[in-house]
Amino acid sequence: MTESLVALPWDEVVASALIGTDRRPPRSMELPEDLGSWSTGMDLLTTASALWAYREAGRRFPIASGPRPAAASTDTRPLLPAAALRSLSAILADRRFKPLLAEWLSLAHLRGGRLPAEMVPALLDATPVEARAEGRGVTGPVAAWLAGYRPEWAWAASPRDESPEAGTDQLARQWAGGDADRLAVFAAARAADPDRARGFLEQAWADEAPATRAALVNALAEGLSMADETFLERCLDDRRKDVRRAATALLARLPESRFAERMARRVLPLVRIGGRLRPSLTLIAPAEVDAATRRDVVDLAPPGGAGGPVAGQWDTSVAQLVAAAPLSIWVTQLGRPPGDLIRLAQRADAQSLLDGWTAAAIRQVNPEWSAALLDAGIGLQGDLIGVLPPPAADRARVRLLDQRSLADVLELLPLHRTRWSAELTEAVVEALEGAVINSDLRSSITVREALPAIALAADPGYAPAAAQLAATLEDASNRSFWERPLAALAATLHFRLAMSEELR
Amino acid sequence: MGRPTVEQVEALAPDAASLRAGQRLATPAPWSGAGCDDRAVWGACRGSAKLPYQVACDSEGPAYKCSCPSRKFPCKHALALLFLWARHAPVVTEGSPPPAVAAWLASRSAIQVRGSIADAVAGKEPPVDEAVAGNGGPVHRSARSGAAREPAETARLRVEQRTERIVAGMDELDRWLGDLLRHGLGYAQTQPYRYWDEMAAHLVDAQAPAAASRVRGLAGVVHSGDEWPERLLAQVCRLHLLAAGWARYALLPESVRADLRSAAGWPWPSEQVLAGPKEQDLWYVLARRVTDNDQVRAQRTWLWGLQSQRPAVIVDFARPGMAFTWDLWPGNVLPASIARYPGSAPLRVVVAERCGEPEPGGPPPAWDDLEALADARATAFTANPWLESWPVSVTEVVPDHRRGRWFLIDRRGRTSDLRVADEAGWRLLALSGGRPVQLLGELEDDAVIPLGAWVEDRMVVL
Repeated sequence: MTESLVALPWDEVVASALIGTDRRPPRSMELPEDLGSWSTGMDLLTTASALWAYREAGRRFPIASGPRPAAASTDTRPLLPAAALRSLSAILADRRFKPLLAEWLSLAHLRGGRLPAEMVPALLDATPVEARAEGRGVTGPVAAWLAGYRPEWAWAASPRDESPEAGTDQLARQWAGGDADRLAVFAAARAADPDRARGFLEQAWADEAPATRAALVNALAEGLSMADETFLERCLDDRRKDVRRAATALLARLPESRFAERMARRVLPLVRIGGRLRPSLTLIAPAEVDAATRRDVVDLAPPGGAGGPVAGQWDTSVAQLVAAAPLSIWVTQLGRPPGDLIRLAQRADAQSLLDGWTAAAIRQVNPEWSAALLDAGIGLQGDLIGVLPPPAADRARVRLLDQRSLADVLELLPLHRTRWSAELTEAVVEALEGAVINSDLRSSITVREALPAIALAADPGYAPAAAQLAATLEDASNRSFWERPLAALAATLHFRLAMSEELR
Repeated sequence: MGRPTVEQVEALAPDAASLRAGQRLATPAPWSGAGCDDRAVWGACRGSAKLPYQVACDSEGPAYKCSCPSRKFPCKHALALLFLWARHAPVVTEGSPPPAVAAWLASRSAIQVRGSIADAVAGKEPPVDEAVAGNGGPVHRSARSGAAREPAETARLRVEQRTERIVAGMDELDRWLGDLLRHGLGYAQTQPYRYWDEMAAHLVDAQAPAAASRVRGLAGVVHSGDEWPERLLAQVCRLHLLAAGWARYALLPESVRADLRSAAGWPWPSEQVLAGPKEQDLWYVLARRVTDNDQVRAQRTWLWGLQSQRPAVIVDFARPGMAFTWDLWPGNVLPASIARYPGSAPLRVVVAERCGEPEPGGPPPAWDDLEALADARATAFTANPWLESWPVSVTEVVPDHRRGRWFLIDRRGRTSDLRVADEAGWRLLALSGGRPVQLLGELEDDAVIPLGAWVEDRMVVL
């Protein structure tokens, strides 16, 4: 008995049943021999039921029409430790634990190991954009295979360490797709082969949406060299201010660039250092601002009157010109190290010059100048600390924490960065103890609001120290204000401590 | 039983809200004095009340005790404590139970409810109203209340009365089905929910609750997408076969009458089930499925007798807010003697006596391909055409997903639809990675419901 033999009468029965026997009485049909004693003249319900039971008893599964799926390549890595997988399932189960996922991924990626395949889809859904490289590493070939099924998971499919040719192809593909991840793809391509990546950018430039151009130019900071100069110089004529601003910041980091030469000509006359025995610094008013200067100094204050910047705007203009000029000019042309120059400017009370240098150190990401400015006590202005390499930055923060209250320094802490150094964590925990014991309500609220971020960033080795903080609370009002947030801080640190031990 | 796995605790949650609440509380912060030993876990959880709630869970049973006022069972505090235990959270320290917990555990040991039908009916287990339970209904409650036996004559009269009621209800159902085909399925599609619900209500009045929930289910079939007329007609035919059976009830052999009784949802007194022959065997737990409908959650635990090579299913019911037990977990083998419900090819069983603890059982027994599965089901269907579902355990199938449709392909190239929520579908797909897996589940109508997979020497519950 094959299915096709009974298919016809069944289709006929379904057709009649759909329209209703009132309007479409069943046509006569040939029932299978085994059902010979039934007749089509019977009530449709009875006939249909007999046919249904007959077909049901002999039901077979049909032959598949399409091809079988291709198999994923095998993941031969050993499984990650069971305790770490339990932590992961806790993180995935509770929205409040989600911020810990990036750290878990980076620890697991560093350690190496395989995830049980059934956990991969949930992890692919939860992985934040900034942790995709680690997510790809942890989920492995199964994720790359699954990515073929769901566009949302496409990021899991592209290994980054392919040949440069394949890299550019992939760049072009992701570009075409308007992928949100493509900035990261471009950054990676730039890191692998700076010239090829710039070449791609030059090609794609005309079609690129204006809004993303500035971010792409910023991405050229990685692997920056004189080879990029021509392209960056062209960017100075771009219609968008943020593109021009990004280009000048990069050109200022290339002492050989035409831009650097032009800026040197403009700013060097502003500063004169005289006196052999006791050198002193004098600031000289800038000359008339021409169109060429406006092209190079994007944010220059608008012209006031005929003869260039008027009184009151003078300081601002100096600061802006200095901020745009390459910092390397000063050391080479004036023949003094940054520390000397800063001291001279401080002695001359040349605040606009100091402001310009500070802004330049940040925009040009110049650690040497940043360190010198911080040493001179210019600490809380802008993100000078962020320019320093992490160990030096943390040392600078620790020094600041010694001098000022936690609430004041909070903005300068790298709250987005996980894994502070032990030194920084220790300084923060100590400062926190101070904040808990004696600070005004306003600072207390500021600090309390920052605790969740501190819990994610601090070195988890300080979990026991954080737990002891709660014990220092003595009077009742203090206790009700701090007890829960401090307990939550300690709990998060403990969880992270366990996490890093599980993935050691 | 001891420390559960995270999956097992998730399975204990009586509903999604409790699960979330339990997970939220499963952090060290609110807990104090939490501890565990080989059998139990306990602790105090700070809640909104002045005093912390005292919580304890006994893995044997399992049983829970909490001083909170929640009517959920287990409550979120017990779930959270179990999660912490399952995750090996450091806040739960190993030790011996405090006096109050020790006393509670001792009293539970003394009851010795485990391993018998008494387990299902003991103390805190939720009573289930037979009228709302489908699938043949739960074990009748009169057995557990231990009430004085009614005189035989009264009992006989009651059976007669109920038979008459069901026969009358089925007669009405059959005429209703005839009208439905006369007007056409297309006409039925345009009807409001009331159209189906009224018929279902009549069947509830006629004391045929399982038939009633099938009729209610038709309302959903109408909107089930492509080929709904064919699916709806199949359900109509299934119901007609039931009505036609009841029309000849008095003339049929006892085993077929038993099939009809179960299919209508008339429950069996447990002493009658337990009075039947016992099958002692090693029962492999293939899969576990929880369904939610009509105010009652039903859990089907599919078993396979390793010696008899016969399938069986344990059906448990729970009110909303109540949990099922976890110890018959897929992949384990339970040495036990079971009693089958009356009928021609009865699948449903109760455990009459456990002869040991459930132990991991290695690779599950399985059919070689879909053809063998279809043969086995066909044999059972021929014996009992009111059969609703059938266990699935097939080696070397590859799951796949195309154009929003989940399906599998067996080693001979035959295919079946998979009826699965996307989340579980992706998990299954990831597990296979395009390679064959052994799939466990349930066959329902024309689709396989995947419930687990045996991959790389371990059982993964989907």
